[in-house]
Amino acid sequence: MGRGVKIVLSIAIALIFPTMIGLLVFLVFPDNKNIPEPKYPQYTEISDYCNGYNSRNYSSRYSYDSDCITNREKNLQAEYNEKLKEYKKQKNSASINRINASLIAVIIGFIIAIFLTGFSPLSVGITGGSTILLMTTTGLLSGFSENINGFTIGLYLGCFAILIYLLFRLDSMFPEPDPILDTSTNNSSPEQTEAKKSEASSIYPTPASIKMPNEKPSPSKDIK
Amino acid sequence: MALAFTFLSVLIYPAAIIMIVYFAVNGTKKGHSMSREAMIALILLSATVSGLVGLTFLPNKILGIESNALNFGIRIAIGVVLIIIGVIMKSKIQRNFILVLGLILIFLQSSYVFENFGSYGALIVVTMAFFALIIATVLLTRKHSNG
Repeated sequence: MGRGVKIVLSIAIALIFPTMIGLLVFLVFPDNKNIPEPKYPQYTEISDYCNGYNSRNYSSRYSYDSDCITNREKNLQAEYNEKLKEYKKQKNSASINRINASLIAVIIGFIIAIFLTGFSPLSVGITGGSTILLMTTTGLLSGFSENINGFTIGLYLGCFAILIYLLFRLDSMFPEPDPILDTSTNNSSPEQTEAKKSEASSIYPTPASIKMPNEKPSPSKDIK
Repeated sequence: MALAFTFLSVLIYPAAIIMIVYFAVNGTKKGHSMSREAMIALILLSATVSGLVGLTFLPNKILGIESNALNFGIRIAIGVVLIIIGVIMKSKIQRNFILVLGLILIFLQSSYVFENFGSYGALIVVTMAFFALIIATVLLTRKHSNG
């Protein structure tokens, strides 16, 4: 597989993975559109409650019971604030569920990357995709920072623990390839590989070609 | 905090893609197979973000601590522990990463210092930074003159 193909494949996987998870999460966790939004208390309703007639009746507007109206308004306002708080909480819970589901997908992505040892486009792509998904999730979280719960933070810490494990096992899981003799990235022919090997032997001399300081000169030089 | 989240996501989203391309091309030019550097960069990027979010909210959301001062203290303590672990580490990548993470975690707490102590907080932070710089300079100079 050529270098260009590998790059294109890894980028494609890195872009498709978060898109796929995003669509899946949006389908599984629908937005709570059915929750009714609380109505702001209307002045006409307050006046109806206190005076028993419609405040739009211009001629009777001076006969209001002002204490009753003030108290009723305060009560309704407090009730409205409570309902609004509950409504926002319910609305945000749907988004928090989506964020949690995305974080679980991120963790699964990194666990898959742990098992995919070797620098295949799949391992790089899945790691890249999980990274992009993590960034997007963190960005979404900014809108709901008041509603973050312990479970979400636990998922972040779990993700962090997996990544630290991945970082510490990096050398054993993804060993650094030989920069000279590595043939996995290009399509070089066996002749080119041999040329590379001879070039490598000239840079790093083999034991047979190393001359010791006390070694006698070769016979060919004596003849000369 | 929300601003910091937004900044992180906006900045890092294209950076992740650029890193994949850059390190994939550069890595293969050097002869590395499909780029060890890309993997390292992506892992470090994700670990930084998840670590910062997780450790910042750990005292409040998981330990259930409400007090601002206690939250601040625990975060500072976690940052210091990370720096100490980083100094102990032998491997270069892990050491640098954990050191930088600890430093960022401590640096992010400066806003709490300013909020709670106002100008005195600014004075505390600047004085601490000043003494840290003096100590670092003295230590480095002594090492240089000995060597």
